[in-house]
Amino acid sequence: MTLDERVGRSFELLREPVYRYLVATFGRPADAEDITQEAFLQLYRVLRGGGDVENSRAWVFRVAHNLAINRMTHERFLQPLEAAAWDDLCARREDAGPDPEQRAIENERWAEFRDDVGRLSPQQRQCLLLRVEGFRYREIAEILGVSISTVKEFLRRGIGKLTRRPDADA
Amino acid sequence: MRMRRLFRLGWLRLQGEPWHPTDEEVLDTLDGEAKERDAGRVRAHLEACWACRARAQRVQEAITRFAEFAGQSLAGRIPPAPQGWGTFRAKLRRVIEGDQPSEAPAEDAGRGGRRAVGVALTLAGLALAAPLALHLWTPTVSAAQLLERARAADARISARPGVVLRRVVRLVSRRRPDGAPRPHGRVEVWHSVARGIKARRYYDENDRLVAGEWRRATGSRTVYRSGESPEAEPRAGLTARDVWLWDATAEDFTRLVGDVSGARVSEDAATYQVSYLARVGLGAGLVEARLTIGKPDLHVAGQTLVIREPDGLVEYTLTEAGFEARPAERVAASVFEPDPVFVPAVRPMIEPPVPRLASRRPAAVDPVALAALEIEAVSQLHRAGVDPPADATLTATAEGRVIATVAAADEVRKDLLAQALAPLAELPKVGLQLTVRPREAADVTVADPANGPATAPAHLLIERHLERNASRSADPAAIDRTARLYARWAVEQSAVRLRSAEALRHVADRWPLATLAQLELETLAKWQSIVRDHVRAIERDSEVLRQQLEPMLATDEVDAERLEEVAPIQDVAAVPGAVRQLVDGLAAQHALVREAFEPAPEPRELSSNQRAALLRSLRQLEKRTRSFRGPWWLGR
Repeated sequence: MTLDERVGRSFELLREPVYRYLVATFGRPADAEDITQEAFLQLYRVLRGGGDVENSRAWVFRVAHNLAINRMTHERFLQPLEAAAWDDLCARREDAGPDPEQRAIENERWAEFRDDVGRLSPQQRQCLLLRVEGFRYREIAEILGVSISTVKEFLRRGIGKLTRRPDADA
Repeated sequence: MRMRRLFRLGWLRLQGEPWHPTDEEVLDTLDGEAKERDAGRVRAHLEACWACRARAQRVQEAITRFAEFAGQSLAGRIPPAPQGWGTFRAKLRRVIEGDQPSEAPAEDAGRGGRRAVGVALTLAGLALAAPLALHLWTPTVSAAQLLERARAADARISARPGVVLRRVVRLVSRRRPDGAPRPHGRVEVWHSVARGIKARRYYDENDRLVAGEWRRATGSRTVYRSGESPEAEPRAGLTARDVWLWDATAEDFTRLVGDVSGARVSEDAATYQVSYLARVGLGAGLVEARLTIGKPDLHVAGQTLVIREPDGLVEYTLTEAGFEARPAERVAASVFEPDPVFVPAVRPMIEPPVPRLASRRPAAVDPVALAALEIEAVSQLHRAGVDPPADATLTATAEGRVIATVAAADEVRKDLLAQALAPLAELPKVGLQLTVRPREAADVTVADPANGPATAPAHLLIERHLERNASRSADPAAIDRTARLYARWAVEQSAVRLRSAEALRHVADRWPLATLAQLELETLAKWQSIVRDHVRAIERDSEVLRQQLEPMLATDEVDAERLEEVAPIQDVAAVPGAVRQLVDGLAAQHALVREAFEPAPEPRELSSNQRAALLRSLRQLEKRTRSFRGPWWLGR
């Protein structure tokens, strides 16, 4: 398999999770698509230049995350996802079931959960989304450019908010 | 972390209290991140303790719900990629056919200075490149990429061993829109990486040497002008008087322009042109800039700068008339020495000794003794409230004397300085020259806050803050005016620190560590005291600024963990690096403050991202200043 075929294959496999992560974190689908593609172009350039990419999945997430942050910092095309947009993203949910009473209870619980999700800080949200993608703490730390203990703390606080712990913000 | 855990366990046992895992330990165990022994202990405890098991159950439920939420609800709401990924193949093809491989793996790029700056710049360049390439311009290279590659090409040529570069640039001005071209002579630049020096001479149209600049790799710099005292001031913004001081290179172009994301690239068969148009009211006199880069080797062939002068726009064109790389042994050493026309008896002292020339000098000057003398002089100047490089210049003579040239703003101030600096003048081997030079206008120019429709991006934020804190309903006009004054104060307060930062950097960089290491402890302690004084001044002014801005910038998006840990300074060797980080951080913060609090030509509001960045910067800077507080080791 040639290098461009390898990168093309990785792109097919990983583009959706990377894109989902970027939209959920920064919004702006068009920018997210550009950045996703740019991250894979970077992968190609690095591999062609003889670079060693051990874990291409975490690598692409990290580059995409950094590209988004840099674009946000330098060009201000991209902002962290606004609270309203995040709420809008979170709003829809499949119906809970045919039983009206059960549906009402479930919907209420879901509304509470949605409120809790809305209280997550962007960093907590990023850590949780990356954890859902199956990344280990070490990989999340590399992607976000923070220490493992910081990742742990963001996750602990994030989970704390989702379990409605009053000291989660402490 | 492990030690803390063991300590807690031991403490609880001593107290006879039962142990319960923390939330973190529970989460680590559930996530498979705990060490097997710790995980075993937590699991055993969960089997025995109902309360902890319920807690773990809640954590597990939260994880399950979030995973469900992210996997179904969230994913379902995210729209498909707008272009359907259709453009990726074409982009990849362009990269395969035409692009160069990255010089550094982008995976190493990081933020906040945690990783190598060069690599970060590469990634930043690539990040800047992406939107431009996608949104503004379809060819294969963006302004940021192009400038970065041209800079790298320059660096590669300069770094060739045993080579000295000589470049000649012709300077021509033309008044816009239809003035006739007026020649201004030529600039000749000699650059030796091995010597760590760049010597620049400016000859007027009659080929008379009228000015020169000697810049060293350490960042120190001395400017000579015919008939004037030498100056060691940092290069200021672009002015008509100083056009000759700017190189027609990608590096200087980037410095002039600042944010290159607004630059455009066009091309013809042989060259690329990178064009930048300043936003109205910004750019410290620079209105337009254009850099011409040759296609085959990315060598810069010329630069055009349009500067706003009091009576209109003037276009300066710098065209390369000669460029050569000469073998170092065929270049006379004198090209790197300031010409006698500038300094009949004095030469700048910062230059490192050149072994090959040492034997030609009448008597070798002991660099340690010279440094001790200079530190004593700087210490005396500092006590009188005069700090190089802004207020004074130090030069050393070939005989090992130090001449302190101090510029006073007027005659009255000159007399006062003469009294204050009497102890300095009495030091053996130290000479004092007092001159009068009116201060140039401050770098920060802020429009009269009471006038004009323009307001700062932070204006609304300040107004809301003022309204919240008003004891009674305040007049909107009064609040508006106060908000404008407040914004101007913020910029001025931020700028106050730049002078201390400049002096701090000067003191930290002027003497090599090897020289400092050989100084007497008493002298070294004086040097330490000056460094600490400047840091304290920055800390005080920064604290005032943070205390004022924090309540209005308050945002929950700044987690303390995002701040970088700053290790306390342990010894002298750590000081130059810490100073560089502090001063660079301060400069970046000042740019953020200006962006937020200076009136913007187009109305816009400060984004939450900008607020968070500024707040983080304010807190981070204070962390850095605090790292200087501890007792550093001055001994050998």
